[in-house]
Amino acid sequence: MNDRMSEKELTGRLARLPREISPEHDPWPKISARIEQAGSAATRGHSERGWWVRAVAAAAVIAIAAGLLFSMQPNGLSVPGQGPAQKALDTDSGQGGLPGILAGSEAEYLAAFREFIPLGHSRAVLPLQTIEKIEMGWADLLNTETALSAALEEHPNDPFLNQRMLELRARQLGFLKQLATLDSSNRRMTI
Amino acid sequence: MNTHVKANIAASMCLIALLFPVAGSCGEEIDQTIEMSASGLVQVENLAGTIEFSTWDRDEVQVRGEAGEDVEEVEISSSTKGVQIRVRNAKNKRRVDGTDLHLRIPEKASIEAESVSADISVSGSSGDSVMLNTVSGDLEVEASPERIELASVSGDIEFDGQVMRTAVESVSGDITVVGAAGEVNVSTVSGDVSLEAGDVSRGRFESVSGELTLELALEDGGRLNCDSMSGDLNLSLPASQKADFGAQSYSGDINTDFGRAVSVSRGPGTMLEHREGDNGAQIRLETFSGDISIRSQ
Repeated sequence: MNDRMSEKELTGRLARLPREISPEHDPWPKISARIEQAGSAATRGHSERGWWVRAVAAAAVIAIAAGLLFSMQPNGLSVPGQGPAQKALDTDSGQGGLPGILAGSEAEYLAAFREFIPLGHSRAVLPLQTIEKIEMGWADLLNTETALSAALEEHPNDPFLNQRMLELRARQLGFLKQLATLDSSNRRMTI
Repeated sequence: MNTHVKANIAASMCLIALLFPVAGSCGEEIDQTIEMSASGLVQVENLAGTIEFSTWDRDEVQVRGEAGEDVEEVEISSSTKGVQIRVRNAKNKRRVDGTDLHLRIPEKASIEAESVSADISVSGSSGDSVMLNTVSGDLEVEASPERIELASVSGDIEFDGQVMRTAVESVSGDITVVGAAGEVNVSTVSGDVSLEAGDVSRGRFESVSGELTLELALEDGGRLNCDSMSGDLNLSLPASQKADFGAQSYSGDINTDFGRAVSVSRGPGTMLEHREGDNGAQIRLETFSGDISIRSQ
């Protein structure tokens, strides 16, 4: 019974996670609202700042989510988190740190991602070939992140590159959500 | 009490499902036929093995197969909604002996099937929807439902038929779609995508490293968005295609039969902005390092 309750709760929480991260369908309205409320941001470069602010939040969420997902595995996958968004965070820290207005929203996301912890159990029942393919998919995402990070270091304020980074984060989130579905299915079909 | 009577009781009592335990232990033969409404829903859950759907002209579902060695129970239930088949395996088995299920269903019935490693195939359905979800199994659909939703992590996905609403998603599996039209959404990480579509009103295609090869026509006022990171993007359109074209790549090339690509004036990359006619349609293609090709045919 407890398993079923947890599964239901997990599914519900996953359903509430954003499917896409893009300016057209901003998944972080709360962040934006708080940024606007703060009102202290300079008008110059405001939209550019919005890009990386969201990227920073996404990077933090992805890094911790992936860490939770794979940390239980002795041969687990490498974890992102040293990309340009993270470095931007470090850079920004030197200029006053991550805006405090983001902290609340990040906490909300991190709470949701804690539900990914049970995913580690699915790994034990998957065929080796499937695990390898999943790892390759994740590796592709990380390789892309590395290449995109290098480009962003050269052109940190390029809207096109920032858009790509946000979309990559969305794909990473989607990847994790798909694995969560796998875990949910696996538990439901075994007794 | 035979299954026919049980099904009628279920229908009359509304929402009360009746269970027909078919295999209480492993290795047993499954052979059951149950009445259902012609446009009802057939739901199947099977961890491993195969799930095959074919259609016939009866308002009945026939389930045949053999339970795998690790099967704890097979449940077949009927309700006013339709028929449900659930195969429950023992927990913590690393190598699961699969259960093969062969179903014959009404042609207009909808289908929902879920598995972890089972291959799933559908042939001949023209119901409201076909929704299949697997992790490592392959999905193969030859049907013409109103809509399809197909998802696999590492398995390949193939669709051939006529459908107006399509959603297909994979991580590393290749995707082949033939005959889709209307709304089409396809997403992959490293799998390649091949699409031969009809008239598309809304199209969205996403890839990380997989190659997108798309052949379609965009309707007047339609929207087409294609996004890839390192995978190439190949789009074939009718020579008469009208639309506002927009394309951009950071380090990939853009080759186009519609307009001319130029270097981005303020920043790196190559881009295309071109208007062909004035029908309100918009085509947007973007890659990070993948090449973009837009060809007329």
